[in-house]
Amino acid sequence: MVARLRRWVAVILLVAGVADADPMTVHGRVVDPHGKPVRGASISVEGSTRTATTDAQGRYTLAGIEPGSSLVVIADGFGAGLGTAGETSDDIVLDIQATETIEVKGERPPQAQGAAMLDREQLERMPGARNDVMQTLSAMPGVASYPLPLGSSGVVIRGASPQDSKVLIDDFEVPLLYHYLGFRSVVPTDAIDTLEYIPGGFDVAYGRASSGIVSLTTRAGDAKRGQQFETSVGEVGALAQGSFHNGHYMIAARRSAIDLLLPYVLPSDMDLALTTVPRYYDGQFRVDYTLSNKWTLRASSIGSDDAMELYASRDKNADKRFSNRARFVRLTTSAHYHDGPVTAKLAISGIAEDQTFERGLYQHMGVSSPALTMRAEVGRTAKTWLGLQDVAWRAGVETVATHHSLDVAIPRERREGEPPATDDPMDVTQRYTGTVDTSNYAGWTALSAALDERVRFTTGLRVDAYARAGDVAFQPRGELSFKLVPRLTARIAAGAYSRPAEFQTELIDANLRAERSQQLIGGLLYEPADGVRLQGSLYYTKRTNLVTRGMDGTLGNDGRGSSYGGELLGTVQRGPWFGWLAYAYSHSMRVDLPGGMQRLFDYDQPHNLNVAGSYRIGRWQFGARFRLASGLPQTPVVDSLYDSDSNLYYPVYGAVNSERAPMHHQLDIRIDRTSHWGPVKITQFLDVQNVYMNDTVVGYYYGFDYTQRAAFRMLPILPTAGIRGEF
Amino acid sequence: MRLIAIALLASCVDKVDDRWQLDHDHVIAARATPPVIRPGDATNLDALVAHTGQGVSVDNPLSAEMLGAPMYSEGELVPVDVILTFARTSDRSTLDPIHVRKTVYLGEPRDNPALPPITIDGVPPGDEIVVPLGRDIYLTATTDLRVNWLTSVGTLFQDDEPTAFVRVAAETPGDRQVGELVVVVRDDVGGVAWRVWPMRAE
Repeated sequence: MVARLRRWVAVILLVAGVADADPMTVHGRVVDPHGKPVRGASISVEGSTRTATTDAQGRYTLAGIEPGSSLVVIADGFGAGLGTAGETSDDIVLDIQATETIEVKGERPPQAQGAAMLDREQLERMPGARNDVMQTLSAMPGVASYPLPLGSSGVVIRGASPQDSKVLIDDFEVPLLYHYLGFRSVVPTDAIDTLEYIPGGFDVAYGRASSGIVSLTTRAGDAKRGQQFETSVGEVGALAQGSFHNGHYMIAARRSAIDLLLPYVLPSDMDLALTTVPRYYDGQFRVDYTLSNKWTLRASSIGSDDAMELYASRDKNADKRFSNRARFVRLTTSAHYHDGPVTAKLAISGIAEDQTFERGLYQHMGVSSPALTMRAEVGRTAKTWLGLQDVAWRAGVETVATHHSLDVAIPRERREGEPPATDDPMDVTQRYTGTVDTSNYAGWTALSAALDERVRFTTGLRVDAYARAGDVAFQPRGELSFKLVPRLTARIAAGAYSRPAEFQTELIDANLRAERSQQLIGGLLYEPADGVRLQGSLYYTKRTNLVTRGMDGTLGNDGRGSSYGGELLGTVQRGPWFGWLAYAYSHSMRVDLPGGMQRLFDYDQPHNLNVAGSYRIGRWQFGARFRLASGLPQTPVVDSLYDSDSNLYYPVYGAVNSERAPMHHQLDIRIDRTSHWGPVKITQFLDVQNVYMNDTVVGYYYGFDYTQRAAFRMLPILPTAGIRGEF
Repeated sequence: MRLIAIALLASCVDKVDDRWQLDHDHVIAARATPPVIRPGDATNLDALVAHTGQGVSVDNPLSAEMLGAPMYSEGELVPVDVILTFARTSDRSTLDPIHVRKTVYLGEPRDNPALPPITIDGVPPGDEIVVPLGRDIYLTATTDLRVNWLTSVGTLFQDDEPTAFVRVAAETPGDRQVGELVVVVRDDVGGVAWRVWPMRAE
């Protein structure tokens, strides 16, 4: 992009001078490096609402300008230009070549109260995250912290089930977030530009989620061609990037390495045969192309492939076989239009997804879900409109069509709040073979404007139509923002949200309606200095239409629940320092059936504290992170029944989630060292989790007859070392 | 999937007794003799029970309660569930007593299955089984019925297969080198047969 700008772009500002300090009219002209006029460039005056747009000759006129005011020039396809309203009346050509790149460092306000954004550098600095983007997510306030991911396809945000929140990559959902082996994200941090975390109160452009949004943006290629390789204990990866005619590219690929080591590490006397050692691949690419000064095109793709096959017996008995494969590839193309106050975006995304699972002689699952999504959004801004200021309006539509092919013979799926069933390899209670087509349509519009310099509002409506169930969800959303003092802002937001009943076996029942939630969020945002931000939030979420299992074993929309809590997030990004303080208090309850007992949510976590800091000095960077989190609720076994003919024990459970695993805490450290070897920049890192070897209970399991309860414990210490070369 | 994932990552797992372990209070199998009876006939109910530190025994239930009132029709096998209770002999468990469901069938009477041919390391066993230390010893039941092996000596693998193997490591403590070996076979209509051998390693 920069090279393109260097060759193409210059913003030349001709400033008409003024004779004295009185406001004057300023004339100017904007041209590119070749002297050609730039039409449609927007010129604004810092500290003023006055703006102008250049004509076909690149000329503009601004009246009532104070001498010495800073002028900011923005034109599509060009870098920003800066100028000063000078005293001479003659046009002065300021070639942008001399001041070509104007980098503005700073943070925009979070998208919603409690939201946070991390860039790649920050993601890589988080100690204990092992250079993994989704591991970093566990440091966010409101995300349930657990030594293992809670579900492979989602995160637990503000007391909601994993499927209630969406993780998007380049605006589109991915079906799988983690590789099974080692719980590494399907996208490496190197291929990510930003991670945006919105725990609630999100914009109308986001839908089909009733809790929060995690939005990842893939990395655009740099103008300067470069390659990098990274290897760590567990995987190897490579990334290449660069530019071409009017465009940039980034391509990356990764493969697990631990599977190459595992056969040599496992004890030879284990009653286990690994025929396909667990392994994974993933890959990403992104291409950005500038079509004109108004149009840019983008194509991006991510894909992942996990496979494993093992026999839980040395003799490879067929009834002890377990195999699993999960793979997907998503391809997204989009066109972006920007012409002064008007923006538009058109995107088409397709995904091919396939998951197979086989266990023993009876249980299997094959799911294939190709889908096509089309989205269009337009926006317009205006400085004033009907007495409102800084007005922004958006509207969009989206369709998602999915064709599910299902071949299922598995035990009854465990729902939220249900304790694990007896492990019976012959149990195929849940059987289904067939296809399911789902079509979801959405439309939204939002208006954001300032009432005065201190008060700003956003109001919008999203409508989701879930065609298969004939269910339409009207979801009004809005936010009010008050600037109490220059660096202190209060925000309050409320909105309605919905999540279609399309998670796992919910697909089989066509009559299930979408789950609903209503969210109320309020808080303060304090920015005492540049790079320092403190947010305090309170929230209440009411959930209705929750999909639960009835007394007859069928699914219905009979559940309801609520969550409330408070969050504190402090961030520091100043000079060599990076600091992070996140604390969340949460309480989340459910009622599964009308008249049923209220119980704790499976992932209820009252307390969750993350404190991290990182300091860079010369070639070295040192970081540490402390975590403290409540253990998750557990349902105890109070008795059991032995069925002699099937030789199986059936547990008798006590009150659902009436016990809790112990609180866990750990300290992680990270050390990075950067050096050069010829033209190659080498970065070595050592990330150690749980350095003081705290004994962390992950959860409990029972012996074969339920008379003994034992704990899953995390590794006492987990070091990860790696090296990256960039050239 | 989740359990497998946990097992892969959460490498430290507290030990619980294996299903094949005889040194653990539990009912190995309940038996109805005969397993299929005519309406109005009686059947004798007992069970093979493992006791912590005390070997196995055939025990009569403390109580027996029939569930429901079966509707019998001539020519069909009608299952009747019976809940039995057995006493535990150790205080390791928080669950007391042991509840067992045994299904007795109404129909044309039949006997429990006969024990199939058994070989230990390829040889039919005698009254006592003696196995060497540090070597896999194959235990084979030649049958299509469901088979379970249990022992209090060494480590048992593939315990629910017709062919299992046992290994007694050389460093196994002396008191763990002496115990018992049990084989249980089950058919599809509640029939069960078992055999218990004293076993030692040397």
